Amino acid sequence: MWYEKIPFYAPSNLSEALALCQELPDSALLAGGTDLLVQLRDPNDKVKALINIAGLPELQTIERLGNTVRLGAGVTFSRFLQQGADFFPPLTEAVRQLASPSIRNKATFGGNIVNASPAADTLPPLYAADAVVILQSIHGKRRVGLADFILGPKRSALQTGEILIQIEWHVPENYIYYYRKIGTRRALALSKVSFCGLYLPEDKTIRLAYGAVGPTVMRALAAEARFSKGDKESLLAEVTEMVQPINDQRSTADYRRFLCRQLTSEFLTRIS
Amino acid sequence: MHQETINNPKKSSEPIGLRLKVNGQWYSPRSAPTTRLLDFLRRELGLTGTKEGCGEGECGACLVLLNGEIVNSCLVLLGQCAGQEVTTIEGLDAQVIQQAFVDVGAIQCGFCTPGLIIATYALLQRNPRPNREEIQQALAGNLCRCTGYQKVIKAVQVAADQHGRG
Amino acid sequence: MQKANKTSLQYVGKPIARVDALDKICGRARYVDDLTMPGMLYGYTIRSTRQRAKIISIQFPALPADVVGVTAKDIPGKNYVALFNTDQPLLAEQVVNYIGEPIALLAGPDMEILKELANQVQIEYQEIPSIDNLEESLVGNKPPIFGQDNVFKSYAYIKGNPAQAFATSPTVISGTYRTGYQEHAYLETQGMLAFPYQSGVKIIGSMQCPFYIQKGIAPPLNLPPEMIVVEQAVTGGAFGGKEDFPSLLAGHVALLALKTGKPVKMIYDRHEDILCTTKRHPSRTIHRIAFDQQKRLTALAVDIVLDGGAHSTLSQVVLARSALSAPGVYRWANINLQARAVATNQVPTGAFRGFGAPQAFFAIEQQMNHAAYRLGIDPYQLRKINLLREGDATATGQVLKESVGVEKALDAVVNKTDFVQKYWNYRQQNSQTGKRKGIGLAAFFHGCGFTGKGEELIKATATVDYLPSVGLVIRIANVEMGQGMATVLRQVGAEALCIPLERTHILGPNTAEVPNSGPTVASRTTMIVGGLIYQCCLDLKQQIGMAAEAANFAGVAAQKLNPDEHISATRHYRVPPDVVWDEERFVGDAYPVYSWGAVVVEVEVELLTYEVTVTKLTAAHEIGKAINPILVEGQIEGGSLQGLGYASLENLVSHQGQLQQVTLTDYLIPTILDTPEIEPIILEEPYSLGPYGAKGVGEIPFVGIAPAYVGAVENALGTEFFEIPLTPEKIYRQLHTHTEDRS
Ligand SMILES: Cc1cc2nc3c(=O)[nH]c(=O)nc-3n(C[C@H](O)[C@H](O)[C@H](O)COP(=O)(O)OP(=O)(O)OC[C@H]3O[C@@H](n4cnc5c(N)ncnc54)[C@H](O)[C@@H]3O)c2cc1C
Ligand code: FES
Ligand code: FES
Repeated sequence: MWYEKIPFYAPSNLSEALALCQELPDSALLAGGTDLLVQLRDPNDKVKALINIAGLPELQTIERLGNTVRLGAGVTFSRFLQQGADFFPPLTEAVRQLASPSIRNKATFGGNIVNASPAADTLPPLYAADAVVILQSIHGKRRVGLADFILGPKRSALQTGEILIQIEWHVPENYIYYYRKIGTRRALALSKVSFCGLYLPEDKTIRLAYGAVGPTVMRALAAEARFSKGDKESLLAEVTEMVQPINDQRSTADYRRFLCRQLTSEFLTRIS
Repeated sequence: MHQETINNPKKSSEPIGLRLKVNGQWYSPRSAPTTRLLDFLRRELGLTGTKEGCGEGECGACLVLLNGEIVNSCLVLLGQCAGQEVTTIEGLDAQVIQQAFVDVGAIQCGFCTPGLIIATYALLQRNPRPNREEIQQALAGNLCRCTGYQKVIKAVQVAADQHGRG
Repeated sequence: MQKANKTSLQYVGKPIARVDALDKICGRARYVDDLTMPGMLYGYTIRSTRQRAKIISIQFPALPADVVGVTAKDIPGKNYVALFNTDQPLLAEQVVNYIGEPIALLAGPDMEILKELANQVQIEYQEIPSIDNLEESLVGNKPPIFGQDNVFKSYAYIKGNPAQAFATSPTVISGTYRTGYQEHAYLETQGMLAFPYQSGVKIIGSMQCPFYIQKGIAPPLNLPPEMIVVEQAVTGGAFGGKEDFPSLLAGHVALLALKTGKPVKMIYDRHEDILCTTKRHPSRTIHRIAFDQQKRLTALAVDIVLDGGAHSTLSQVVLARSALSAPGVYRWANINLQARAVATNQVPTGAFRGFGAPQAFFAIEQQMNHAAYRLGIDPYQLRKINLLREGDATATGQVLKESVGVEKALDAVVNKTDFVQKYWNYRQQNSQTGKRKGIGLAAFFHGCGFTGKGEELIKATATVDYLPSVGLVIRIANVEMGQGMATVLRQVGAEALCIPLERTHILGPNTAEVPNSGPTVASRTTMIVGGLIYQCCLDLKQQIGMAAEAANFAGVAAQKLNPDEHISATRHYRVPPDVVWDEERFVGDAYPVYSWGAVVVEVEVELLTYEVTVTKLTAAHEIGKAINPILVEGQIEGGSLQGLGYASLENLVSHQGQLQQVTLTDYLIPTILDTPEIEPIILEEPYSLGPYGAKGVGEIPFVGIAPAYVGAVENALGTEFFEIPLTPEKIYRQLHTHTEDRS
């Protein structure tokens, strides 16, 4: 591969990694590599070095304290399924259907988020959970709402010198959820549409998140607001208006829009 | 092949004298740390039992064990394996599985076979008595265009039975 | 399932483990990319980025001393790859006709440097209006790509009086059916290694037909064929994709090897492989069938068009199979058939398991499924009424004298699955939520061996040697590509001579060492080449004075021959004298014999998303004799799943000449989670001229899957469908644009 000629850095802890990041603005962070190394099959003159952050100890947090879940950006999907499967079932379902076992052994939450694909499967559950990402650079830490962090396809608010270190969210009380991933086949399929609906019985609200039907994963805030009015049809109309699916190599805009409506409708039926 | 010499002052954070264990033996690679593990195995060590079917994680022909877990060696860099243990089909002790694949007829062109054996091995280590669904889940990253997978599933079941007895 | 006489057979009919399994299981088998040679260079191809254009100029960057670049100007001989025609250039010279067409080549020691240099090659083009698809090709308002009318080949015939039959029949069913591209997706991409050898060149690689390569590239290399030695490396799947395409690739590496004087290896990556190797022909079939009051078929009118892409390659023979399959497994008095393969500015299409038959069977079997619905009869009964049986004549007038197992196959799958009961039950479903079940049926044949005069032209030759110290050595040009040929033919040899399997050997296919027993295609190897080997073995017996049925060959040979003496026998295939084919009139015996099959697919359709799950696939195939039942099952299971992929999910479309799914991330084939339980049923009606009664099995498992699958979805949803792959997107479009609800 062309990148055999670029240097490889293997910092042993977060502060070394942050220092390298700052120093080498033309480098790329390598976590599981399952997105990056596919993208780097085509020569890329903007990537002049690789900094390996896979396995960095500070990125391995995996804990649920009370209702708060904290996941290190370096946690692989396999490890999450072993140690965090009961934290937040909609996310667990998403991760179980993601890629394949060998990919899940390497792929990380951080990579899935920073890669910012509209079809990234961890995102609809995390959007529905109003997750927050924690970013760190040599200058310090900042917290950003996930939906604000992701700006568009393959674009995030990550700044040069920053590393995503953690994802955090509150698991609501007694929620009911419905998660569906629609892919072309049962494994190793990127989503045509993915959907996560949450119903919070305490405050009688819903949250609706959709993947692969717009430049980013989308929350249907306006439709969510209509829930209290009890008019299912207008809520569904709101959803189909909001989503912006396209025709691409995987599916058609029409069918995707139809799926958004169908899955939302199914969710509403299940909670009613 | 590129011999890696890094002319960056910040050398301390590089894997100085990168070493890794392959099939039980330690190596200090000549290849650069940014070499794909797959290329290192095939080019430098001549371990050509690990195959490249796609180079992007989709086919599983390149599966190896990294510290006992399956990974796609086309998406792992040599530098990420420093101090770790790689097992390829050439170094795998999996006779029961291999025999089951032969007996059941789970092999046709054979290009996917090393990857399937590796994945089966990893599955049976973790779960010696998998049901059909568990077998399918565990092998979901291994494409086979020849067999239709029926005999692959059966081979894993047979191997599991043999393991159970042995 | 086995015939009663199996007790007398020692090897044939036995589930013997593959002879090549051990090497494959240990990772020791050497595929072409596993080979290296001292001083070996890599090759790289520079391809057209235009769909159709004149090449104005080609400008290489300054090349380092160890890199060589070649264009069409460097071709020592004629610039074409020889097959049926000479229209496919080895390297495009004046014009390019598809995106991905090879224009220039580079060889050098470092692949990454080659790729960088390739990016710097400047090619100036002048666009020509391109022909995008088969419809455009038929319109003919753009300059033709091939000949005067863009038609690579056409067949047409009229039998009886179809016009009158249609006019007087009470029921006429019509439809226009479409099928898409399919990519072979063999797990091993195409690859080839060449080096200067003696005074010519030697080629080692992944292939089905060593002699095709030799013949194909002799004209461009300007070498006598014997000076081109072609050897097959272990081949990681082919399915037809390595029938004709390897000649082009071999021509490229050979050219580079001769130019540089060094070994050159070229291995396509997956992207390149999908982009520029052959595919299954997309098709459009306009179809009409008529029935009388008794639901007997009276007339067929069919117009098949195949999209052959930019060069003719094998399209004419693929088309012949389409045309011969179009009437299906039924009796007809009146036929009006037209079949054309046309040129478009798309990647050339070529051989793919089934070879034109799947497209044709999709149309006829869907017609039968639709007809059953409209006639209010179940699809099984309707087929039973019209089925070909022994003694009947096919559409081309071939009298089926023996080994006609279609009714057996149909009965087997129908009984096994309780088809009729389920079919009517599922028709009653009217739930609007949850899941609906469906069941679908198809019946089909596959002609064994080459179509028409093909076997006569090839004159397959096989040789066997017997050495007391070594045993039997089989010399043939046929290749093992996963299908099990090496095991099956050794079983035939061991059985014929009653010697242990370990004492039989097959020489690795190498054009310098084996006679031309023909290509490994067309489900011909077991039946035709296996038949020759069987005959050769009988010749050996005769040479040492043994009767054909006598058993102790090794013992007698040990007495009669010195330890270092060897005997040998050679046979040439002769088409049986009663097999007569008239290519011009399209009349007569299209194939020596047919394999027959029937398949039932059962599905569940989720109404919320129109996702379809196949719950069970039951396939019965009547193949004369299963020399090795495990390998036969493997063909049935693998072919069935490949067929389900074709029917349901393998979506490959071209937009302005650019294929949209060129990685395995976008072109999706079934995974182990997508496979249903597949139940293979092997049926045997021995063929008198096949070795131990065997016919062919390599392709037939694929042929009828698509209509059975679509039929099942129709049964579940009560709607007719006309196009594959039938994806949820298409189901949605059909149900939500014009609703032809019939439930
Ligand atoms: C065969 C295959 C199938 C796949 N299937 C799916 C699927 O079904 N669903 C799905 O959602 N995805 C899928 N993916 C994509 C991929 O596996 C996931 O997005 C994965 O989570 C990426 O994680 P990674 O650790 O491998 O990221 P990497 O490839 O290492 O990194 C991805 C990007 O994120 C950056 N990055 C990574 N970690 C950090 C960090 N901590 N801080 C800052 N930047 C960081 C990298 O610099 C890079 O730009 C698939 C990939 C493959 C190869
Ligand atoms: S080559 Fe690594 S997954 Fe295909
Ligand atoms: S045996 Fe050929 S791909 Fe699996």
